[in-house]
Formats: sequence, C-alpha cells, structure tokens
Amino acid sequence: MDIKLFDYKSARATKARIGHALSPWAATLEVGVVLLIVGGISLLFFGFAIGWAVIGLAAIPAMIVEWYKYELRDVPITANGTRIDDVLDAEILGLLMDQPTPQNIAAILSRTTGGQFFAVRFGVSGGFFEQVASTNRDDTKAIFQEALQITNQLGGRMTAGVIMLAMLRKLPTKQALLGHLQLEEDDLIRGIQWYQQLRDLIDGDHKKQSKPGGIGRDWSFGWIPTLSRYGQNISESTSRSNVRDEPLAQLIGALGSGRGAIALVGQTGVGKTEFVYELASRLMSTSADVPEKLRYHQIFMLDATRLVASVNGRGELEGLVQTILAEAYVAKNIIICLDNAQVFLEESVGSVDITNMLLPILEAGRLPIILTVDEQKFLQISKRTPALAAAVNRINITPTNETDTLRVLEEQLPMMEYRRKVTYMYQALKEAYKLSARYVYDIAMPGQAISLLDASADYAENGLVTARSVNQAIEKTIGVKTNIVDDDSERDTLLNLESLIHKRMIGQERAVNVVSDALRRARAGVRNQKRPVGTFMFLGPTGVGKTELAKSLAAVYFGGEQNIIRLDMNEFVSSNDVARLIADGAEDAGSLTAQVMKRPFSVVLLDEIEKAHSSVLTTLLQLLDEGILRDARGREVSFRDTIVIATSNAGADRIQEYLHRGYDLEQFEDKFVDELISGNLFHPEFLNRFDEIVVFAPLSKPELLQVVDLILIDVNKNLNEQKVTVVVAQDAKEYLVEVGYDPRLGARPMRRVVQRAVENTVAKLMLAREVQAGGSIEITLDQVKSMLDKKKQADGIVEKAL
Amino acid sequence: MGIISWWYGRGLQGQIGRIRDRLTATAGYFSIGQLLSTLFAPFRQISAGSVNGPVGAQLRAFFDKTISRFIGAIVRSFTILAGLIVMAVQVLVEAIVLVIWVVLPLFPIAGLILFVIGWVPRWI
Repeated sequence: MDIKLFDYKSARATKARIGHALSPWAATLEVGVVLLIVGGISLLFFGFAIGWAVIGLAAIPAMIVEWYKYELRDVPITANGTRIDDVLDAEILGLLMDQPTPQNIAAILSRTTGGQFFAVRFGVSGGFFEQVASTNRDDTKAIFQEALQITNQLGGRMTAGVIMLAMLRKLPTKQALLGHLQLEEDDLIRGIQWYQQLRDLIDGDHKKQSKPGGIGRDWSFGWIPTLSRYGQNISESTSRSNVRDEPLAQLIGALGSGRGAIALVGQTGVGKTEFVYELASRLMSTSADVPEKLRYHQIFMLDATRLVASVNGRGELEGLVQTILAEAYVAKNIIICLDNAQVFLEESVGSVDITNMLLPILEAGRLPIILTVDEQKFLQISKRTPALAAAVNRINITPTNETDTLRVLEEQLPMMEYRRKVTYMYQALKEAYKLSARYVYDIAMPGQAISLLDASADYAENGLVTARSVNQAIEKTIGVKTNIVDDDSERDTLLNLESLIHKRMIGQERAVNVVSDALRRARAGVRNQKRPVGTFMFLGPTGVGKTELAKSLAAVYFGGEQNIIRLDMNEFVSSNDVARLIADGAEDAGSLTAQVMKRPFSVVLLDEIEKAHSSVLTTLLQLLDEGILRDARGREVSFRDTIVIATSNAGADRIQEYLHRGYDLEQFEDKFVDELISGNLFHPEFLNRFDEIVVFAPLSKPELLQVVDLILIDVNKNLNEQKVTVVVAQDAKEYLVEVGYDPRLGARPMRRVVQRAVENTVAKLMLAREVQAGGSIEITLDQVKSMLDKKKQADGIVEKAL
Repeated sequence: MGIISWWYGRGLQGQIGRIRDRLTATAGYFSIGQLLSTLFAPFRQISAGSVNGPVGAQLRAFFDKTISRFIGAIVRSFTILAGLIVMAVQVLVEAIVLVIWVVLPLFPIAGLILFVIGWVPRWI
C-alpha cells in the first residue's frame, strides 16, 4: 500500500488502534482508579506507608481513562489531511489492518455504527460487500482514492457510508445493485450527510444550555398568570426542523423591525406551526441573526379550543383575550401565536368571531402577534374583512420540495420511531414522498408524507418500515396498486387478461388487446408514470361491446364492476357543466374528481363523449395528457392509476356503410377518424390525446351465437337456486340470434329476447311439473318459436327497448 | 511516550477549555451582568405600567412601582451574591482540578518516594 495514501503506522492510526483496544476496558479502569484510591487511603489510615504507592499507582489508569475519553475514543481528524489515516473515522481506523483487502474493509464496516446505520436504513450492509468485494490487496488503492475524493467533495470525515459508496462505485454490478435496492447514488450521499447530522445532533445535545439567558432572564419582564394558564410556552420545547431559512429570516426581520402582526399563510400540512417552533427555538439561541431586542423573547401559543370552552359567549371570550394580550403587551418579552387563527376570525362550530376586538390590536401593531392561517381561509377572511388582511404582514409558507421533505422526515424520524416502536428505511421515506404526493389529498408537503409514513408503521415487517410497507399502507387504505407486480396470481391474470375478458365479452379482439397491453405495461413498471394507465376512445355502433369491455376490465382486473366510474356525457352538454365535473366532493360526491379521489384505481368510462360540450372536452385534455385534473378547490386529482375509456356512437352509420360496401375494419379505420374530425364531431387535439382510437365493428353471426351462450350462462346462474339446468338447441340459438339482433341496437336487445324465451319456457315447464329439481331442460326451436310466437313479437320487444 | 505529550499538550488545552466552558455556563446561568444592569427594574413588571388619572392613583402607582423595584433589587442582589459565591467556589475547585491535572503524571513517583520514606500522616 502506498504510504502516501494510507500510513498504517501514523500517530492517528496508532491512537485509533489503542483506543479500540482500550474501549472494552475503559469502565474497568475507572473502577480500578476508585478502588486504588480508596485502598491507598485505607492503608494510610491503618499506618501503612505503601498506601502512598497505591494512590500514586492510581494515577496511571486515571491518566489512561482521561486519554481514552478525550482523545482515543474518537481521535480527531487531521486538519487538511490528505491520507486515509488522516480523515478516516477513528472507529474504522482502529480496526483497519496494514495492507487490507477490499474484503477486509467490508468486514470491518459491518462492525461499526456507521456501517450498521447503512445496513438498517438503506439495506446496504458490510456483509453484502464482504461477499462481493475483491480479495486482491491491489484493488484497495482505487477504493481509497475514490473514498478520499468523496470526502473532499462532501467535507468532514470519512465515515462508513463514504467507504461503502466508494466500494459500490468500483463494483461492476453497481447499477443492478442500486436497482435492486431502489436507490440512486445521490441517496447514499444523502445518507452520509444524514448520519453526520445525527452525530452532530448527539454532540450538540451534550453542549446545550439548560437555561438560555440565565436565571434572571425573565425577571425584568412582566407577570403573565392568565397567559400562562391559557397559552403554551413553545420556547421551552425544541424544534429540530430547519429547512426554511429564507422565510425564517423574513419573519425575524419583520418582528425585529417592529411590524407587529404577521400572518403565516399556507396549505394545511405545510408546516406553519412547526415553523413557529423553529422561530421559538432560534430566538432562544445565541445565533447572530437574531436581533438583540428579540433575543430570548418567548412565544406563547394560544389554545383556541381551551379559550372558547372556558367562556360563555363572545363577550367573555373577548374579555379573556383582551386580558391575555394586555399581559403580553406589558410583559414586553412575549410573542403571541394564534394557531389556526381562523378559529378567532369566523363564526362557526367551535370557533367565535372576535375580529372586531382583534382588528384594532393588529392595526396598532404594538404587540407582536403571529397568526397561522390556511390559504383558503385567509382568502375568505380577506374578502370578508379587507382591513384585517391589510393590517398583517403576510408570509407565505410553501410546500417543501423533495429534498427538503426528506430532510424534514429525517428530522422527525427519531420521535416517530420512538412513538411507533419501529425503524424506518430510507427507501420508505422516498416512497412516502412519492406516493403521498400522488394519493394523499387535502394536506401539503411535508404533512402529506409524514401522515403516510405514520400510517405505514402499521405495515412494518419485523419492526422495519420499508418501501413495501408504504405501498401496502396506500394499497390497503385507498385500494390502489402501487407496486410493480410481484404476486403469482396477479402475474397470471395479467398474462391471460385477454382470455379472462373474453369470458365476459365476445369479439373485438383489437380493443381487448390494446387495453390488456396497456395494463401489462403499467404493472410491469414500464409505462409513463405521469399519464393515466391507458386512454382509449372506442368508436362504433350501439350494442357492439364498448361499455361491456370497460365493465369486463373493471371486473377482471380492478376488483369488481363497482370500480368503474361511469359518466354519461350527455349530462354535460353545456359549458356550465364543467363545474359539475370538477366539483368539490363535499358539495357533489358524484363529480368526476370526487369519485376518482375516493377510487383512484378504477376504470373511468366517459359514455357518449360526442354529446359533451366543447368546454367539458377541453377540461378533459389535461386529464388525458398529464393524468391530473384540478378540482374546484384547486387540488390536483391524480388519474394516473385509472384507465380512461371514452365511447362514442358518432359515425355509426358510416361504419355500417363501409362494411356494407365490403371494406374491412383496418381498411377504413383511419379514414373514418379523419371524417369525424372533418365533420367537426371531435377536434384533432382531443382525439390525439388518446393512446388508441379503436373502431368496434358490428358482431358477426358466429360471434352473436357466442353472445347467446354467454347469456345462457347467466340464465343458468339465475336458475341455480331451483337446481335446474337449461340447454338450448343449436337451431334454437340461431333463431334467437335472428330475432334478437337489430342493426340499430346491435346485440343489446338479445339479452332480453333470450331471457324472455328461455325463462318463460322454464317457468311453464316448472309449473306443469314437467321438470324436477336437479333436472335438465333442453329447449328446442319449436319451444322458442312458440314462446316468441313470431318475429313480430320480438320486434315489439325491440321497439320497447328503443 | 504518546500519553505524556498529549497530557501536557492537547490534553491540557482540552482541560482548560472544559474548565472555561463550565465557568462560562455558571456565569451564564446566574447572568450577573444582566442582573446588575436591571438591578432596580421592577420585579416581573408588576405595577410597571404608567398610570394616568387622579393624583392619588398616580401616587399609589408610584409606591407600588417603588415596592416592586425594591423587591427586584433584593431578589437580584441575593442572586448576584449567590452567583458570586458559587463561582468563587467553582474557580477554586477548577484550579485544584487543573493543578491535579498538571501534577498527576508525577503521582506514581511521588507515591513511591513517600512509600520509601515511610512517612504516614500523624492524624491518621
């Protein structure tokens, strides 16, 4: 090994090894020191001068213990060091032998806390590297060089994570391993920083002052008995989150400049309350960016529920709040926080409007007050009382991005893990961000991810919350399939999707194939994740199976026919109907967005799309393009787990005409679509948004015979209770096809004709006791004919259907 | 030997640093500077606000404030005194700790010499 890269005999490496050797003995040595001193004094007490020697001897282990505690246990890194032994974590350095192989290094990693951190949090263990790492000493140099480069890039010390990343980069199977672990290199870099932050946090806790500002800090400020009773002093609690430096500086600046009232406005879950905790924590610190006039100011959060519950009516509440605010004003070191300020600013259940009392105080701006308000509520309040909006300085708290959300989650984890008695893997954090952004509505980041991560603890395996646990939490709560397929029965379903669908519907091979392919792509994880699973336009005459295919798909794959969201677009014929399409679920549970929010994993069937107003179709463009639709409240509703099927009868006559003229479907399909566009039935930009436009041809006679068979299966199911089986003769079936098929309605009247003919015959036979339970009935052509009498009778039925 | 060079080098520096931190923490806790600067400020601002009104009310407020200032001065003076005593004792203790640190490596030799001489304190 090049001594310029790793000097085994350097002072730091030697100290690290001594430290490692001493670590099991440190406590024993401390006890030894005490025993020697006590023993020495006892000897002197009984007049033995050897006691001096014993006391003197105690100095040796005492010095060793001090050396271990302040130097050897964690040998400080060498400033501006360029060798491995200068910057390597002492815990690893103490175990490192001269001329190590990559395998030796990997074995050491699994024995260190840093290595164990990565094994648990990322699933990347030293044990794994031990199996795949080289046993050639010459390969170590490249790993060390890589590790030094990473350390220089990230700063600080070379921890186990750095070595692991260096080893990973030198593995030929790097990409496969990262793919298997659902990680990227950046995640491991993030992990290295996370581990360092945890260590800093532990070190920082030791140095924390018990009473910042001293015992007499608050003696010159006011007495606040009422405020202490109804408010919570959050300056005494700690905040670990530190992701919003810019708005925090803005807030401190506003408070420091004497602008009294500040409104923190943001969506629910965005972290407004946590932000106030951050401020409280910052004011208690000796940070240079806190103005002297604000230092050690305390933030009291008023508990609205407690206030409202402890008084009778608005008058008393106003009186109480006035007393509290007066105390805070006289005290001079108090910042009041009205959390969920809307409770004080609007009249509803559990809230009392005291705007008239608060407004002059806010306008005067002498008492620092922070209001946290939901974005929507603030807009409502501003509209109702513009003076209030003008009296406060608004600071927007925006949802965090992925990096900041992960930081918040990392900071929240110790508390969550303590509370839920689980350990979260980093992959779970990433998955929680990804899935909550897509499926958790009504709250914003990081609240979205935190709530999902919390729910995922219920699906922990052996106390470990993994990405799979997060997937399960989503799947169990909202029924959506988020993971790529890994279950044998589902694999079989997907591979045999066409034959399963054909058990319910006949023909239309191309349509069945395109929807099956779309679903397979989605579940194999190879589709565009930012669009719906599939978007299809089904064109064709009535009764050819367009709606039936959507139903079959819902039944076969989406867990039942109830998982179809069906909208008859002939109910959306005016531009005003757009509002009904995207209405808030609280006002209209039947709106498209509300239904998809409840059932994101479903088939969306837009029947008779050609009848919808052009504004409605324009609204649907974003849905088809990006898989999202904003509802009336501005929330992004995800359609990315739905299959969207639009059906249309437009141009059905032209299809018949083409077929009569002897064209095959494939020959006129494109031309037909062009005709729809030129006939202004659909705009090209609308049709182009669909993955596939499928023209359904009318069913052929053999196909119709199969439809009769399917209907007969249903009829037999209905007769199951009577234990009777019905068989229909082939010529009778052909007759049923002849009378049940109508060119205008396709196969739609067939079910009614078959049911009537067969069920009526069976009923007569059963009443005449010509058939017993457990028996079988064969229905002949004559019986069918006599039942339907003649074709006119069937036509009558058809007319009724029309 | 490594331990000796560390003991009188970085070890001693570290020890002085820890003593300084402990003394600073105690000084910060008693905040004597702040207590001195606010020695006659009304205690917890009781009756600290300005009063407008009849002469009698103003007079009463003045007396209330004076009493509040008096209480504040007493509480703060006692705290300052307590702080000074605690810090004086702590300085003494820390000085002993520092001296022990410096002479500790000599303890084995000193102990051996005393053992060889055979001297034992009379009070024992």
